[in-house]
Amino acid sequence: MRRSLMFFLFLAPFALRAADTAYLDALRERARANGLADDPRWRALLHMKKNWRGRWESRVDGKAFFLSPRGKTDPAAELDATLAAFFEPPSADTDTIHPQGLFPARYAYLREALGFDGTRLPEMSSPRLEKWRQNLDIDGISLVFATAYLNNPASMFGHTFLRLHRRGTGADPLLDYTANFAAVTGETSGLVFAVKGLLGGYPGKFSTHPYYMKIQQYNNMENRDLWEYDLALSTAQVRRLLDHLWEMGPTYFHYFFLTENCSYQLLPLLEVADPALSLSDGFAWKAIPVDTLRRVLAAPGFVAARRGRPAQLKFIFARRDLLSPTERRWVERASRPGPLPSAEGFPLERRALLWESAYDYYRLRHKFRRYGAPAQEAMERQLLMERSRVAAPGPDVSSAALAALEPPEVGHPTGRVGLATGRGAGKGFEELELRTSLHDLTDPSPGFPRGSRLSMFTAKFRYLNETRGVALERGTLVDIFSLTPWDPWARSPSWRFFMGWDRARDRFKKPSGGLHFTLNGGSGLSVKTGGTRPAVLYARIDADAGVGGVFRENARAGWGGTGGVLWASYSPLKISAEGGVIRYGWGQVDTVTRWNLTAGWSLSPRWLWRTEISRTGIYREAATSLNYFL
Amino acid sequence: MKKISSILLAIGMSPIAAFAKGGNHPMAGCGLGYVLFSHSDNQPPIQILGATVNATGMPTFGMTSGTSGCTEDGAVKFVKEVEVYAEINMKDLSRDMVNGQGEYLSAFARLLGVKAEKQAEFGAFVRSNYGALVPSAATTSVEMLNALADKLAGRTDLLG
Repeated sequence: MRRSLMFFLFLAPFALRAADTAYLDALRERARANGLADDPRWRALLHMKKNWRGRWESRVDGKAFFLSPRGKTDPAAELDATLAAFFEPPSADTDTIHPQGLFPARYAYLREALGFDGTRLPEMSSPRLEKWRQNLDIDGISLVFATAYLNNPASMFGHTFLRLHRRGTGADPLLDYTANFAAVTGETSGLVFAVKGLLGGYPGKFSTHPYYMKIQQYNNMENRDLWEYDLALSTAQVRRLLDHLWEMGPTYFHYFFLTENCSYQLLPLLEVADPALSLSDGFAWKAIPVDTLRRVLAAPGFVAARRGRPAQLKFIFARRDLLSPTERRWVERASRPGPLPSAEGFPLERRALLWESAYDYYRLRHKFRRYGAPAQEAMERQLLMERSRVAAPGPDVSSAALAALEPPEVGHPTGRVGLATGRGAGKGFEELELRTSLHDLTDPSPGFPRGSRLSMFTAKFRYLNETRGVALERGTLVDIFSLTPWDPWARSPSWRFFMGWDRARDRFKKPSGGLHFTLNGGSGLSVKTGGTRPAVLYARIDADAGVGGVFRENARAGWGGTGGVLWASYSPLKISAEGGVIRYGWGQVDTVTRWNLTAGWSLSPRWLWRTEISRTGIYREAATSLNYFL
Repeated sequence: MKKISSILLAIGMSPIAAFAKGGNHPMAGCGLGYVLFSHSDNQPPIQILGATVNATGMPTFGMTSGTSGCTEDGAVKFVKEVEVYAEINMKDLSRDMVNGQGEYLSAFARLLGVKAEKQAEFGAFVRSNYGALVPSAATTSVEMLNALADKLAGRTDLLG
């Protein structure tokens, strides 16, 4: 009470100079009588959620977003202050935006709810807002999902953003705009980004960019597929979303990689657009992009259509598939340095394809760089010039590029709980495993990158029957396994990275002991065998470092190699076998061999039965588990 | 989006064209060259834009006015749309230009105000003139646009 009085005393002489204070009081009274401060629509505009103490608190962290000093936690005070601000006289400086123009969604909501009298509360013009609306001229909105990109920790789980359809762009989606929420940082180290991102160390902001920039980044440079989901929003709802986006532009949220992330923050925006939606609750501890997408898809009738936009690489491969072995050899020669071969020997209708493929392959080999060395630029221009001399269209491969695309929502749910029973060195144990995310080699593969494992924050607890003790068996912070079968054009490595707590069974030849913190991983190659049910064979060089009391000198480090096979081409059953040896040359000196054989059987889309036998040094273990995706 | 062939006029008359012909940095008029797209920088364009937050006056969006001269309040300025589009998409646009068709060329044609029914003809036109539009490996997007404006002056029938 005292603070609001102070606020009034301070602001009143300035803000309400020559304004109609009686009308302001009347509006505030009407708002109170109608309980507007408790209206979910008002709370949505302020991004208010119940905090851990059960009180309303806005997720917005930028101070200027609140017109009342108590606005972050008090929707009523913010409403009163917003109404007062709407009465402010216009500024003489044209670059300054009046509060009515800074908060157009709040203004529209309150004008409608309270029935503003335009003669007593004049509507202010906001040239910058008007110009922005005109420039964008949006008449529809899609949610866009960018598939996972394992090579960047910030994108491993995929990403979502909004595509803002501009009126009159018709068949040219490139000219549309996007609204994107992202952490604002110049950080280039993925690991630092991941750690700071987990802890809310960056501000998260909304930004708008032409869609072609997003396409350049995701489709072309990072080779990710995009999925577009057209949202059923009325003209008024689109307008409201855009107005609210404008309100959010200048402010920020603390960015939390797991919860208040790029994907989550789009949901409150959609709730502002259509107050009948309830999308943003239930993501208290994790908001994985595909889960937010599923939530949007679950709203009845909200998604009107779906479209896939394949990554650039898929088009390149689809074009390559059209080449005969002779033509392919020609293309590979044409894209090597040196004088260009002649295409005269090929029929005219093949030459367009040949030069296009040569340009594709050359660009791919030079990592799609936008600005190359002079020699690269010269070569590209030469290839383009040759192509321009063929007066025939190249083949349309869009349907072939689209063929193998799988929408992300068909995948299994992202969490997994498992109960296991097993024996190690002749002694029995039981296990409980909780996996926060996301996918494993032997999980059902639709909707996920083939031959991949991505696990973050997984804990496995073991109960030993003999000692009746419970202990952490393994604590995974990050576990990534990426098998990309070798392609002579794409030349992607296959690699592995693990960070977390694990057991060194070679130190204690029994099913307990050996807990330590470890970082290990390596890089290598994989090849796909032929046949109708192919397997993927892989080999890689590994490095391994561990820290813990189980080691002499409390640590060990070394390197070695691993080889394995993944057979995942028969849908319910997947088998993975792997063996390796690490020579620890530092700290606890030793040579340790390991192998394991794992089979996963999908009993239903949600149930997985898994069996694993493994050996570390001379310690042997076998376990079988029943897992549920949730 | 109004279709205007005057966008070509805008390019033709803007200081950029003058600088380009006078030998100065071709992007000087827009600020693109120095602020947004360092030619040694192969980062995704998004990140480059994201790094240029420098709000003057009242900030609205990350891409804001005052820094580059190409954007205001998170939207690319109308008269700069062709330039920014051509610069960001140069590689893919070039590929479509020599094909005489494609998504990047179609959007480009729409920005230029090419009549919908003249799209195919426009495609053939840029394909057959590619050597003149991009005379060397060092040709910048703005130089290409200037050359295109010159060429199109003789083909106003393509423009709506």
